[in-house]
Amino acid sequence: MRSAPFLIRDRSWPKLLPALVVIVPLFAAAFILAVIQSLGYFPLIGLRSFNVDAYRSLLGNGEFWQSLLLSTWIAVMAALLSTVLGIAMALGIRKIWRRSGRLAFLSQLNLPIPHVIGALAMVHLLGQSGLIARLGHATGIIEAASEFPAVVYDPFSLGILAELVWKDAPFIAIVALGVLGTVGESYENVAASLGASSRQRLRHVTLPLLVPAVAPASVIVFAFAFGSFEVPLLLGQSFPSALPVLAYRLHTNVDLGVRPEAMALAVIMSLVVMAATLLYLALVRRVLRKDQT
Amino acid sequence: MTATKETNRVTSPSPSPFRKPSRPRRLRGTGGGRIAAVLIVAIILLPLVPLVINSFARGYVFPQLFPAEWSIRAWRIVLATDGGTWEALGWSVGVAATVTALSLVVGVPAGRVLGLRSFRGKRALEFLVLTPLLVPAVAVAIGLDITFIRLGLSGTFWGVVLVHLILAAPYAVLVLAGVFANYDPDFEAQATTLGASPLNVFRHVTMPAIKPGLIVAGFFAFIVSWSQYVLTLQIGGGKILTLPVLLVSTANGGDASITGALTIVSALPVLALLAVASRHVVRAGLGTTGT
Amino acid sequence: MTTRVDLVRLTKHFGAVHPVEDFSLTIQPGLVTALLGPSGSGKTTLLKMIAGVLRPTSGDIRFDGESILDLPASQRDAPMVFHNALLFPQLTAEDNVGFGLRMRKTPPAERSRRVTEMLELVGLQDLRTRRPEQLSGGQQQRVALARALVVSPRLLLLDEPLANLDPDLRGEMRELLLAVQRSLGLTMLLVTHDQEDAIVVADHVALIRNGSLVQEGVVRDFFKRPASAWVATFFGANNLIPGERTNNEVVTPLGRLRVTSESPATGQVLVTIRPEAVVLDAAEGQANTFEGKVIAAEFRGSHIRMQLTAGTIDLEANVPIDDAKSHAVGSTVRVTLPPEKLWPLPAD
Repeated sequence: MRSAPFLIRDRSWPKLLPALVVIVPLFAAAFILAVIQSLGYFPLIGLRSFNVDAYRSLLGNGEFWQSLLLSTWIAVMAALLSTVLGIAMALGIRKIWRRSGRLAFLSQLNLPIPHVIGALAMVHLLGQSGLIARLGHATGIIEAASEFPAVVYDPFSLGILAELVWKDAPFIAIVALGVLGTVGESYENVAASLGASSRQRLRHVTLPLLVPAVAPASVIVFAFAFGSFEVPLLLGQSFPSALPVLAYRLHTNVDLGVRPEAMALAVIMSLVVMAATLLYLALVRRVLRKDQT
Repeated sequence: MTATKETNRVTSPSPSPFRKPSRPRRLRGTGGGRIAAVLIVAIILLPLVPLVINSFARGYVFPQLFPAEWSIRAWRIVLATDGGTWEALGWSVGVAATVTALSLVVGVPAGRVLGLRSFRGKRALEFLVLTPLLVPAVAVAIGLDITFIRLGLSGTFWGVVLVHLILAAPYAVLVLAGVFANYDPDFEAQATTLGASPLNVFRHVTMPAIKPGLIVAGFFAFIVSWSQYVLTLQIGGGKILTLPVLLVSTANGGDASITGALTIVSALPVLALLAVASRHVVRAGLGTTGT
Repeated sequence: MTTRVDLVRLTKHFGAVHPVEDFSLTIQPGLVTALLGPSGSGKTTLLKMIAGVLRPTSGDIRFDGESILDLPASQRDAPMVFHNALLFPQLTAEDNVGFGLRMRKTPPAERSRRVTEMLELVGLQDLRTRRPEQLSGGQQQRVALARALVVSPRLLLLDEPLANLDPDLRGEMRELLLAVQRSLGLTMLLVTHDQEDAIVVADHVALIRNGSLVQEGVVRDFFKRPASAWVATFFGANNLIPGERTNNEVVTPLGRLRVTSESPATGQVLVTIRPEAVVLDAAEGQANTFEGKVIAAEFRGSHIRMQLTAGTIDLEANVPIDDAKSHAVGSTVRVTLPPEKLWPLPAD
């Protein structure tokens, strides 16, 4: 760290304060409130005791587990596919064009597009009467719309994954290019001059170099995919629905007694994501150290 | 040996507060590069094509590949002054702009501290700042719903702004922290010893130096707010109708042409913003490395 | 280990920029050759072409007579050491050193032995398990050196390896490079802008300017027989006296100077003499003696640098400290330019 003569220690905290006031308390409040309400303390509807009924009811509900499984599947696959494709994109771009500023920029064109739009777009692209299906008809591969495989509203959530990967692979690619562009080339030259073939360079130099930057990025992708609401809402099947959709459904249920369960679900979702994040990052750190003789 | 114009030393341009990596430029196979560029753009924009086509079509059902009937009916409806579009556009722009401004105000000092200083608990603090980005937005919406109703923030402009801010501010902080990590505060020391007041130092030294980062951070904050759905749906309580909210209910309405037109209306402003902020988005990257 | 490298008319163009132009040089096997030149003179580009990282626009590169242009960098057996150590961040020092051997699938036992050997050679065996971020700049550079040496390369390429080191560390590293090269008999090509590197480490120096070879030879030649005025001033011979030469005499504004060196330059010449060769208050009756006036005198640690003027000519003299005592600024002094120390250069 460089010297910062004008930031005396006691002056640093006030600078952080606005950010902390906004982010932490509001956010913490949301979490704490959810926890309290999930434990049954819900004065609004007359519940004043603390109990774990909501959790018991939720965890005993088969739909919860199926939704959890589904959301986990979506999150893991989205992170995996985005990372692999993103890195491949970055390497491919670099191969074609060394200082690939313009290509990198073009690959980010869908960055600002909201997921709501992306999801709707996928429906019209991959749906059974979507553009791809129509191309299939035009080329004589299929006759009726129903012959086109169900890629949206399907049990494997392919449509959802398509949308998420469409948005997130470029994100990973940009992160990767950021690393490769600056130092990657020098390291690769050194490795080459030491006798490493291009395959060896990829495995022993390029990929290890990418991990510190790409790992946090893929965690973000994972977390976002897990918690995504609008994409499963528009592209997913209705049963089982993704966990966020289930949570929302519980929360807006006419029966207010179900509210604590919605809160419990919110708490569980948050905890799952946090735990998964920490676990993942610890794992990555371990894998990185493993590249020893 | 001819010429007398050569110098023994290459004069370097006056240093900026940022260390720029050296940039050798190498083009290989420009032909392949161009094809790749076209391919990338095609794949990236492909999903939007059906919606765009649809917005200019009428009765564009399977198996038509090209619309049998072109029409701007959908556009006329969507752009009608008494429709919901303009109101939604107003809400989206208003909320997003406010969120952006606040995110920057909050993000600059926080980013500065996180980027420049190292202190105990910094890692924890960084993680703390990151958490709103990880936790599902639904959870936040659900958690804050009743409370916001109680506080009278539900269904209000500021309620929605506040809740968007929870998600947008961390992005701004992260980007700006990355920017400040490459920033040399000695430039400010220079200005001060030359007699500049703190305000002037900020105006003439700090701000110009972090301007690209500000643009990127602002861009991300804007997009985060612009794209928000479930938070606006819940906290907005049906009163704050931003474009995403309108879009989903329109999509449920079943008219694909209208949906398509509205989609374009929702996408164009942020695409325009991307064009404006483009140079800075690519160069600044994300300061998330090495967390 | 002892490869002869021939650079044959190498040229590199990047569009309108020509960093290297028609460069030819033979790098003798088993010796240290320094490629010396100012920043931007094209020496790093040359090095990268030899390493295989850049492809020449035209020309050839031969190792022991065989062209290696089509050989990829990973097969040229010519590792590079940069000014920036570039140790792989996720590996320890010893794993960094062993990297090349690992790529060649050397069995672990032998690999370990050779790594240990190299680490001892550079004096870092105690730090073998440290990670790059735990090492100082100098230590990192030594690891980088060991990493390049352990693969028993036939050619070692160094790109300004001392540039990032503190001045006191540089001396140590130069000694290390020299010791290593002597004990291994390695062909080394050292690219640098620092004359000290060339003087201390190199057997042979090639001076490069704007992508072309200006002069080559042993270091001493650059001091005693610079090929041009530019070379002379690059090495600190700032005295350039214009004149016209016929045989052993040059007619200059300082009068007729006797010249006894074998410089081929005749006609319009610039006569150069090194500042340390200028004699003040020599014994009576010496050739090339005239009156001069002291304009300035600066203490330079080991000597005094004096600025003298004689008529229209300004001269620089490095004078031993005791001798300088009697010559105050503004005083007149008897200046002698020994004929054997004068070197006429073509006036270009």
